Amino acid sequence: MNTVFIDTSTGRLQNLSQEEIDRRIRSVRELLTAEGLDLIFVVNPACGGYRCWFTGASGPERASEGGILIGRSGDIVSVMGGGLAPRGVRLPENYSQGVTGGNSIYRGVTEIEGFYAEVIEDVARQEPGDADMEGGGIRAGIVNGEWMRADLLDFLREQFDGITFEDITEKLAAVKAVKSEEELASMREAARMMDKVFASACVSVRPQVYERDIVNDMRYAAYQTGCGGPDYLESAKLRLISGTDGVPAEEEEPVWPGRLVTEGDRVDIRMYCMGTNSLYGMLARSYTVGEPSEQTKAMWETARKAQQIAAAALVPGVLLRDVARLVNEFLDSRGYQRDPHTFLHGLGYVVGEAPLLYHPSEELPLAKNMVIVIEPTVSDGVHQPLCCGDAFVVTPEGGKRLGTFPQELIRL
Amino acid sequence: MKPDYYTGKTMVARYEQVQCFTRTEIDRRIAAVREVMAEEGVDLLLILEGDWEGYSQWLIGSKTTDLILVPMEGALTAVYGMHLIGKDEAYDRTVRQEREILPQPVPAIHPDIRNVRGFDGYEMARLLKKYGSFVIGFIHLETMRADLRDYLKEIVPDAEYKDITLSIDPVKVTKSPEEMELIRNSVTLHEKVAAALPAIIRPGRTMQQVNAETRYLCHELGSGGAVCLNFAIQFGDDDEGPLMHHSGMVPYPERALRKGDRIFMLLESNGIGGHFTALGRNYCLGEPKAEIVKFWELALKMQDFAAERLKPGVTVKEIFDANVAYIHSLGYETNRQNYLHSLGYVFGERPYLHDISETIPLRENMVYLNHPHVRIDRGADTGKSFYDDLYAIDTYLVTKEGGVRQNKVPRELIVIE
Repeated sequence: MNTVFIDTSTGRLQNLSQEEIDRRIRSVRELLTAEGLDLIFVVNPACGGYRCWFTGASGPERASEGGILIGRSGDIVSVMGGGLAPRGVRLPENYSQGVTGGNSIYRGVTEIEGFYAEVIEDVARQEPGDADMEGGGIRAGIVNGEWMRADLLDFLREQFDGITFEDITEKLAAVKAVKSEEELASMREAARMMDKVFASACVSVRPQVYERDIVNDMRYAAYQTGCGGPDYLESAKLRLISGTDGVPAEEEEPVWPGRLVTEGDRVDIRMYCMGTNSLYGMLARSYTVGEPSEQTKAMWETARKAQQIAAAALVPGVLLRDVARLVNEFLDSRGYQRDPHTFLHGLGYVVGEAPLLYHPSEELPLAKNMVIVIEPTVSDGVHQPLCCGDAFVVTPEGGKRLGTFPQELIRL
Repeated sequence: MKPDYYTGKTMVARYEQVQCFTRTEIDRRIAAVREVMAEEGVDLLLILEGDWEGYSQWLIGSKTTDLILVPMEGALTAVYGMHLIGKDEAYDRTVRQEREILPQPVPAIHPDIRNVRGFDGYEMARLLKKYGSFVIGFIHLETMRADLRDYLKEIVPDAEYKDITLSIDPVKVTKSPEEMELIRNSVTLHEKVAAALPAIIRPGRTMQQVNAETRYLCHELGSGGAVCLNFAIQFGDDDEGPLMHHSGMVPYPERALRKGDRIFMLLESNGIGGHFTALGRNYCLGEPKAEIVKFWELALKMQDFAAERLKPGVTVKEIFDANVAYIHSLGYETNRQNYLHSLGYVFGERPYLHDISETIPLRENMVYLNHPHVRIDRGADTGKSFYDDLYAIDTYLVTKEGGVRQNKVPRELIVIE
């Protein structure tokens, strides 16, 4: 049994094994070797959840700072901050920022503050292979290259003669997208957390409460059942809309303190929560305060069926856009609007992992053990749209749902 | 009786936070920025990474914008999505969010702020040509992405770049009467939560439970739409050694709270309208140790020392240096931490300590956190650790007479029987 830690600044649990971290580093090194690179440099490691994936730790950081450096062997280097230190220079201690969490508890990960030329060189020159012997400068694979700061790029070019860069963002995303059994175990746990949170909504959704009361209650339930993080817009993302069921959707925006739920309402909730090991769970369901209208029943049945069609198609080798086409053809056939949203996407350390619909990564064929969210929205253009959303793992037999929350309209 | 300033105001995403911006206030902010631009000789300002230090939230009501363009006159442009639009490229600039997953909606808080998709450097170049100027001002120039630099170089190769962040920082940090209303709401929110904490902090509970309930209470009272840093910075029994700064990974399960423990709770979150303040107090399950009482009183002395000096014209560096000398004169030590920083829509606004901005003079109506640290001396063989310290966290208004504490929570060690 793995040792369990709690991140005291977020409240999230961490129980990934050292073997899992080793596996990830090994898989990235396989990519590095296959691409003939000396170094993989992940820029803005929060983007895509890489900081967490590599080190098991995460905390708030600026998009313009930080990075992860991986060489052929040796420790991977997790860089915090944005300082640039040429050879022989020591960066001053940064006392302006408060002490934060984020220390890695795993072997094979070294954390430093700032980009040191000596460190980068050390990582890039790890055996086997030697850029000098083979001629030419360091061959660096870049992830999230669009975030590369101009001064950082200049620094790398000045410090490393002949350095070349190759964008491997989609390639590394493809590696991360395929979950290990250990990751799947955490994602099943996240799915159970979502089941509990949505069960708690059966109490929270009631007449004479405000939408924000339900939102606060659900986030609190999440934080008590494994979710955590200082910014719930990231750690407990939630979209809730209530409205009178069976009538055209309301247009006006609520003013403080928001909309009051009443008898006869339908409440639609979509939520993503970051749980143990910083992996997300997801659910989308609809609750009615009273008997649902015939429109809502028909829309829900369509949403559920659309999801089933997508799930059946989630087999290795398929592209998300082909799955999307099946769903939209079905929605069309039922007289509903086609769904223009990114309703099919990977899930992991961020809510939108590769592959994502309508994104370059939609070219990535599905593989066994990817986790894909299926959340098609059913809209007739008049009534409030609704969505049936769950997370599925890709298997040769089709997508298997990670959670067990009933896929029904919840009549309260 | 005046209605609450948030009465009738719309909410971000229906419930996340109230959009408390009057047109007058946004006009004031834009005018203040333009005044600095004129002083600095720039006709156009690009705000990069505007969520850092809260520039985006302050000017356009959203932290998710990628870039803000502020010309000397006319509409501001808030750019969502950093596609760099090519010359004569037909690019749909309507902000469309259906390809994002649960995005925060793009706000419409002022008619002179246009929200667009993609950055059009050629449009910007036409503005510069109209002004007859090629000096582009920046906020956070150091964060300029390489692709943006190349793009600008291609379009305006002769442009001069000037970082004016440090010139605008003190202007942004000087709060208007409208902002002070929002700050007072945040202060009273924390007062209420602090009053509730003795019921929440109980033997047998874990800090994870206490932290979650504290955040819930803040959200119920109107905090939202941003980080909520409500957690125990220190907890444990002072008889067992240093109470470390409570961050990072520790073995789970943590031990439950028990009699004799001291818990230093931080409440650092926003109120209705989105402005941050902070409050930090020690809650003791039983009578505190005599040594802790001593160090607490020293911490208050340091806090008062700093507060007296929170006056216009003084710098936070001067206050820090003087306070170091002061605590040394009493025979004790302090830690080199940033305990004087402003807050706004985020909890760290410059000028602040140990930063290039620490020599910028304070101005009347700035709002500052003030929490100097007294290092605890536990004796020769305790293995002192860097953050074994004691401090109170309070929010102060800078006035000619010195810093005025904004909350009414007694500055004492709170004993929970």
